[in-house]
Amino acid sequence: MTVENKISVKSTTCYMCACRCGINVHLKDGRIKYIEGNPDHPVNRGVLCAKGSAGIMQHYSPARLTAPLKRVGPRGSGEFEEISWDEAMSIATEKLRAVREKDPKRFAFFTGRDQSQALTGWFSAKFGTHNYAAHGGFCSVNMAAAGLYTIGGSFWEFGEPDWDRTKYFMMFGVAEDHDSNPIKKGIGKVKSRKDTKYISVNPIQTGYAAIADEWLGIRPGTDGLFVGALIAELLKSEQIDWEFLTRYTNSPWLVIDDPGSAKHGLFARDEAEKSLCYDLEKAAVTELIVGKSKPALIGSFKLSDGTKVVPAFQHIVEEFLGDGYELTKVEKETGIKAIDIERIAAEMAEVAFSEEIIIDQKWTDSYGNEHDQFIGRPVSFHAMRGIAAHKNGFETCRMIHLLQMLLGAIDGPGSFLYKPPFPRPTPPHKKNATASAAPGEVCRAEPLGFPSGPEDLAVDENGEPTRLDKAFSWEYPLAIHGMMHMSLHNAWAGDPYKVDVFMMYMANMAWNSSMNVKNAIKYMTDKDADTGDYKIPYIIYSDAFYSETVPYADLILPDTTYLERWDAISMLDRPIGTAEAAADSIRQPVLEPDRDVRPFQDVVLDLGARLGLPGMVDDDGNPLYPGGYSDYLVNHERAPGVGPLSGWRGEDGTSHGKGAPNKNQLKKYIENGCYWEFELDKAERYNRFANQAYLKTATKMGWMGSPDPIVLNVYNEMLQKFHLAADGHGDHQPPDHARARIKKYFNPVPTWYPVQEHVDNNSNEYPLSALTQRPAHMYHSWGGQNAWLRQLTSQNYLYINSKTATNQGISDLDWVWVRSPHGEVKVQVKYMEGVNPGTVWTWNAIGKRRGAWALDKNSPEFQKAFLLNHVISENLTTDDGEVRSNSDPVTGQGAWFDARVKIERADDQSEDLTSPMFEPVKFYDKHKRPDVLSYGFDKEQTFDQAERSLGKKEDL
Amino acid sequence: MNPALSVIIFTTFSGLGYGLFIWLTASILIGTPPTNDQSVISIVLTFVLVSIGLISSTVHLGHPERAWRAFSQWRTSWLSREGIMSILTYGPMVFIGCNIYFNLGFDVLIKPMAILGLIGSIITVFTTSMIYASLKAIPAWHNKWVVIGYQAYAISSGGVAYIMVDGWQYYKVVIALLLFALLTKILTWVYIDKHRGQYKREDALGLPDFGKASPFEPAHSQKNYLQREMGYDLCPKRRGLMRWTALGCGFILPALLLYIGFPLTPIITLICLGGMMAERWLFFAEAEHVVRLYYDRDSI
Amino acid sequence: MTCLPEKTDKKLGLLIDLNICVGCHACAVSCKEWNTSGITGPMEDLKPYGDDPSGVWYNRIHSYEFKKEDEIDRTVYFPKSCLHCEDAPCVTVCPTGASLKRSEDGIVLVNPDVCIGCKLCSWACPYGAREYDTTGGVMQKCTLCVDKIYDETVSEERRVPSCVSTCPAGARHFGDFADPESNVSQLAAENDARDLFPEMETKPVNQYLPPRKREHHESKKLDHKVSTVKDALVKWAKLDFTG
Ligand SMILES: Nc1nc2c(c(=O)[nH]1)N[C@H]1C(S)=C(S)[C@@H](COP(=O)(O)OP(=O)(O)OC[C@H]3O[C@@H](n4cnc5c(=O)[nH]c(N)nc54)[C@H](O)[C@@H]3O)O[C@H]1N2
Ligand SMILES: Nc1nc2c(c(=O)[nH]1)N[C@H]1C(S)=C(S)[C@@H](COP(=O)(O)OP(=O)(O)OC[C@H]3O[C@@H](n4cnc5c(=O)[nH]c(N)nc54)[C@H](O)[C@@H]3O)O[C@H]1N2
Ligand code: SF4
Ligand code: SF4
Ligand code: SF4
Ligand code: SF4
Ligand code: SF4
Ligand SMILES: [Mo]
Repeated sequence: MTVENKISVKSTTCYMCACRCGINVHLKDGRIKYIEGNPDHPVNRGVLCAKGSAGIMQHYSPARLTAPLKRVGPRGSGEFEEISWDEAMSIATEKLRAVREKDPKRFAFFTGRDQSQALTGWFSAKFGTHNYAAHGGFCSVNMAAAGLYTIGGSFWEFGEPDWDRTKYFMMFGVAEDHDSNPIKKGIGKVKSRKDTKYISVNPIQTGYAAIADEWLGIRPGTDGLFVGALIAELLKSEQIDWEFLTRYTNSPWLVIDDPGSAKHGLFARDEAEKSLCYDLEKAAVTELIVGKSKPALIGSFKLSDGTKVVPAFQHIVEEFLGDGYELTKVEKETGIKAIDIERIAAEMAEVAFSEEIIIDQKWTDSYGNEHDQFIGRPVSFHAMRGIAAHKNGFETCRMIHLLQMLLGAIDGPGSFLYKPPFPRPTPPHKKNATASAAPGEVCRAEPLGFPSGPEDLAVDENGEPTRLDKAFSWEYPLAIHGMMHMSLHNAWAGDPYKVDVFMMYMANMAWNSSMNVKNAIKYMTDKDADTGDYKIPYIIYSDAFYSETVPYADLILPDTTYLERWDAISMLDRPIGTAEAAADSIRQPVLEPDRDVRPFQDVVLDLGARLGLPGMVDDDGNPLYPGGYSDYLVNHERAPGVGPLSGWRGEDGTSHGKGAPNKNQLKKYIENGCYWEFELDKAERYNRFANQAYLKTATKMGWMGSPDPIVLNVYNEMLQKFHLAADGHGDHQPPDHARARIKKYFNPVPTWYPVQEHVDNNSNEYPLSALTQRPAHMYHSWGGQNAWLRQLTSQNYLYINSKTATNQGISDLDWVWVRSPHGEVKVQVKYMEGVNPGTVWTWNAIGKRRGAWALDKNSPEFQKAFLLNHVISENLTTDDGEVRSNSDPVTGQGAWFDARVKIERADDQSEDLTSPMFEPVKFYDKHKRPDVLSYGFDKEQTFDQAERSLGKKEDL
Repeated sequence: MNPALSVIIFTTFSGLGYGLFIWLTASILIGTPPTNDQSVISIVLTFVLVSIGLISSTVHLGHPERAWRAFSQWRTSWLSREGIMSILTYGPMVFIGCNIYFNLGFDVLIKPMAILGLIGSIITVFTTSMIYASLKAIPAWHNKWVVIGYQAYAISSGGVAYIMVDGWQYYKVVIALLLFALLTKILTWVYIDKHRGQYKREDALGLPDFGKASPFEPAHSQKNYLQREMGYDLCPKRRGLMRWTALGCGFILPALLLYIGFPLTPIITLICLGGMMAERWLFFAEAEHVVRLYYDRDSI
Repeated sequence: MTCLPEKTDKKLGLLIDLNICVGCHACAVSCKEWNTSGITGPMEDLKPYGDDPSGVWYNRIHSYEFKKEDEIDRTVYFPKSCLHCEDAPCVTVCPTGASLKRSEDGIVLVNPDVCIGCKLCSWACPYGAREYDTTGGVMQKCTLCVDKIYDETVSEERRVPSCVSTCPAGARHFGDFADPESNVSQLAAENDARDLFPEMETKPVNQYLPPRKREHHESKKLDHKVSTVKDALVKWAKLDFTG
């Protein structure tokens, strides 16, 4: 057949979501015929989700921007004039040059679903502003921070259960996660094994939770109690992996017990800064030598100077055997029955200690001890935003990690496994910038990084924030992903200061990624009464589509679709890969843009060159990467030999990890299906926090600075440093308004506390928790423009337990008002059984703003679908009476899921319209929108011909 | 099922047409033929009614120009058989009509042709009914009452039309047939109402042992072809109204008017046809396809 | 054609594991993207950017909540496409022969060049597996990706329907149910496979594996060796845990 001859296949990386699956794009006559999963790709191994397959419709969306735009009407109107790229770039350059010359921090750069943070963060640092972050702060930073500060890795996509071997898998609060396809593949495997049990802890029984062998419909925000109760059960019954604790965690480390002193709660160390233990054999406090020492885990000892010390583990015992996790209390708060908690603890212990997995494999630990086996405790966990998006999420997540440590179930066969380049030191050795640069200078560090104590905070001499979003301040010290959700508010309020240019990339901040849409819009449209200028004077935005945010920008830099550009999924950024192999990948353009659009990364490099930023121009001021992003990907070196891409480095392309730039590197990637995979040796696969061979490899590859072992923290000394500061110790002191908070929330041992809304609203004024979930087939707001995906869901409902609804006289499909202290939204309800009775929920980001996304004005997305964001707020009055961010007090994680609401049946049931209904933005009409779409129509093809040729391809 | 006008017209008009032809041929056979003019009128009427029915069933096709293909699958398809039978039945119809009108003189063949016409009409109506009665997926149709009913409605309404053409000779028979048809209709409804609920959603899902299933999220937010075609929702009030209209206009009123000797027989015929159309509308609207078990019905 | 083959050499079909399906719609969309330019495409979309978007899908993912006394209610996702029935009523009702069941492999197809669009087959199918294409004026349905599974230009393991190769959870299997040794026959035999709607007597080829029964959780409890902080500190003090 001739038809097939015309088909060409190009590999690249999907970007219908952030999971980064490998795809093969089939092209026929210059149009996309079919997108399939790349069978060899480490992320997805051939599978593809609904979004991935619908990439065709995304690529041809009528909402695609076609040219740079300059605002001509008022902000929000959607009145634009098309301008040339030359003009757009000079406007942007002039605006930015002026800021840089005056005060670089007055340029704020916030990026949403950015997969090139290694570039955008670097650009910001070179520009001199530390007001940079991506979306992580409102996304899942609690998971990242808790993991990285506890075990040097984390859930999220930085680790995964050993899907092939685990025998007991418990998943907390996951609807989709970033690892969409790997998790689905993994759960599929788990469910195919009859002897493996999978428990889902989730207030809602859909998706992954639907197929769990046991569903625990927990009350939102109370997981810490449940986990704490499991920990207590295991401790009380001595079902603990003592050996794991003494070897690999800081359980035996001696903690100074000297209340009131500046060292109270810190580790005792010898002169060489080595940690100490009480050696039972020597009956003395000595340096801890793993494998040799016989350390005590319990007891009270004295240092030579008489200071009282206790092993860190003792603090764990004191926390968890206290009455905080007493079963009847836990049952009452979580809704999980005490007998179930007891049973689950028993099942877990049974699997961990009676069904251990042994792999005969010689390996040597970092302390020089040789082992013949890897011992795995096949109990595994995964958790995401159901834990993260609560104000106690950091602590809850730490608690899950503690449970893993107690079971000895970290990085062993059958348990949670790190994905390289993790594990990393706790925390990784990369400091955040503490301040912006002086005019014309560059930042001393990249904006985001990992503080290791109060001295690393981004605060001024009064202890007040230097960052616009107040990340790394005394209010949110470990806000390692920034706090994008505060950026618009703070820029509007001029708190801590005003900015001149606010640039956004790939973030729909005027809609679904703001907690408080009405106010977000206000922040962008409010004018200064004195000057008549907008309070946020200039907004630059790069989107590829006509989203709700586009109308609010002054300058639009239209991006390509993901099939039209180069990209890198870099080890310097959010890595891909599996437990067995490190990997990175690229995107290559498979189609030429047919519009006047440019890849944003090219634009960033061009901007940098025009501004003459160091690293982006040579000594003569010429662009260093005239070829754009692909040029940069190949030739840029972050450190000698370290570039954005790890594969085929060195001039001849034979080195991996580190090596000189290789001009054929991209070609190599393409030949290999657009990814690079580096498999670990069998002896390097487990216990990597203390696996000598692995750590050497990691150092060689540039993932670690040195092969020192990573000690897992049951006890977090750094948090205690903050606590001590709040107690008045040390040079770095919090402002008084932050003291009480730090004291309350910074504890070396994980503790559970109820989230504020639950305490505030115990009066039953707002009796229900309101949650959102990601639909598997939609990516936030951008799925709704997709001709295929929107057929699956173009309207969302508020799902409510039928008993809760009938108690209130609410019928199925009634319109109700959902009210919170912050706002209200009118929605249609649907009954459901599989939901915690105190919880209502809906799908995220189905509702759209009328006029956006080039959809018909009567689309269900505008009329009936809604955002829950209207009842959430980015600001709250906290328990200390101050107005602060609705965020985790440690990490600044946006606490979307703490929302509490009440529901009331709407008086008028006939209207069939959601509310609030914002003024429509101007309709986008740059593309034809067919009434009937017959994609792929081939009028040449007849059925008989086609059928006759099936399987008979000899005439090819 | 969605009561589409095309199928309603198709089945009612051709039913009336074949019913009329049955009367004509039967009259010929039992030796009470109408006058030549009356015969021609009957045949023209039959021809027109049957043709309107066929055309209406053809134009709603996706590809009317391929309609000829529908004659090919007589071995299994009742629709194909119906098509063939309706074409075949045109033979005797046209023959008898032409012979009388053009006075062709093939009078010896009239009776054999009447036999063929009679059988052909009955079989055609039967094949029409079997199109529906053969569909197991629509329990309201998958029963003998549909077959009996189609014949009864065709012959009784045909009888009314025949009176309009031929006069009052058999009006008592027609009244009796109308009452018989009425009875079959009532028995059909009794049957349908009794058998409602025989199939459960859990059977459709193949999971009868997992408890009671209720729909959670629909496959798609908006209605699809299946729901538009087979998801017709009949509200009970409407059902009652239509049932009375069908009974009243289709059977009771014509019988009554015939009984009192109402002289304007075309009006009676029109009332009867209207009643038949109401009956047919209900036939579709009341019939629930089991596919709804996957959507919004617990049982059918 | 309209006559069903007395016997088919193979019985190709799908085995769908409800124990694993998470309702992600991947199979449905992948089906759409493959088949819209496939042997019986295009699969139209009506008002794709309008107020009432709908279209032709060969595969749709339903979901249900099951309620059983004394058990926690459970959600079940339920993908549904043509079952390629052995006694396919959709084939026998077809007046034109457009609806056919192939004797070599049992695949039920609609020939869009012959179909007159009478819709009768969609009435005959108890499962709602046939959808009408208003622009083409013909009936459409799952092709079992007949133009993919025989495509010798792709590697053998990828020669499976699009919905099968794409399913992220691995809930879909493809094979020959006539061969007792095949993957699907074996899985079906081992796992209490189900026919949909056996009452309809269509003898579906596709099979469904039911959700795994939730085991009855027997209460179990660990023996407490210590119960308070004090107990623990006393009992564990100075104990050597290094083994
Ligand atoms: N109620 C509620 N709200 C939430 C959440 C929740 O759980 N509940 N979750 C929050 C979380 S975790 C997140 S991460 C945010 C996500 O929210 P956002 O970060 O706003 O994400 P999106 O809506 O996916 O897309 C952002 C923009 O990227 C644009 N875009 C798509 N492709 C491209 C491209 O190739 N180039 C460019 N330049 N732009 C492109 C889209 O058009 C869209 O305008 O939502 C948050 N909002
Ligand atoms: N298809 C698709 N995939 C996506 C995205 C998308 O938009 N669409 N977005 C991506 C992004 S940006 C992110 S951040 C990730 C997020 O991925 P997920 O972490 O899966 O995030 P959510 O969808 O918000 O789901 C949160 C889950 O937590 C549950 N939950 C809420 N509160 C609690 C609680 O207190 N305890 C417990 N145990 N559970 C709770 C909710 O019921 C829900 O199931 O997904 C990514 N992947
Ligand atoms: S999970 Fe789906 S959308 Fe995300 S990258 Fe993979 S295939 Fe694409
Ligand atoms: S792709 Fe697989 S898991 Fe997803 S809906 Fe289809 S069968 Fe279920
Ligand atoms: S499922 Fe429906 S369309 Fe498919 S073969 Fe069976 S009856 Fe025919
Ligand atoms: S719609 Fe087409 S395939 Fe179906 S019965 Fe009619 S002619 Fe046959
Ligand atoms: S076998 Fe092919 S046509 Fe059938 S549902 Fe699967 S992908 Fe669609
Ligand atoms: Mo996120």
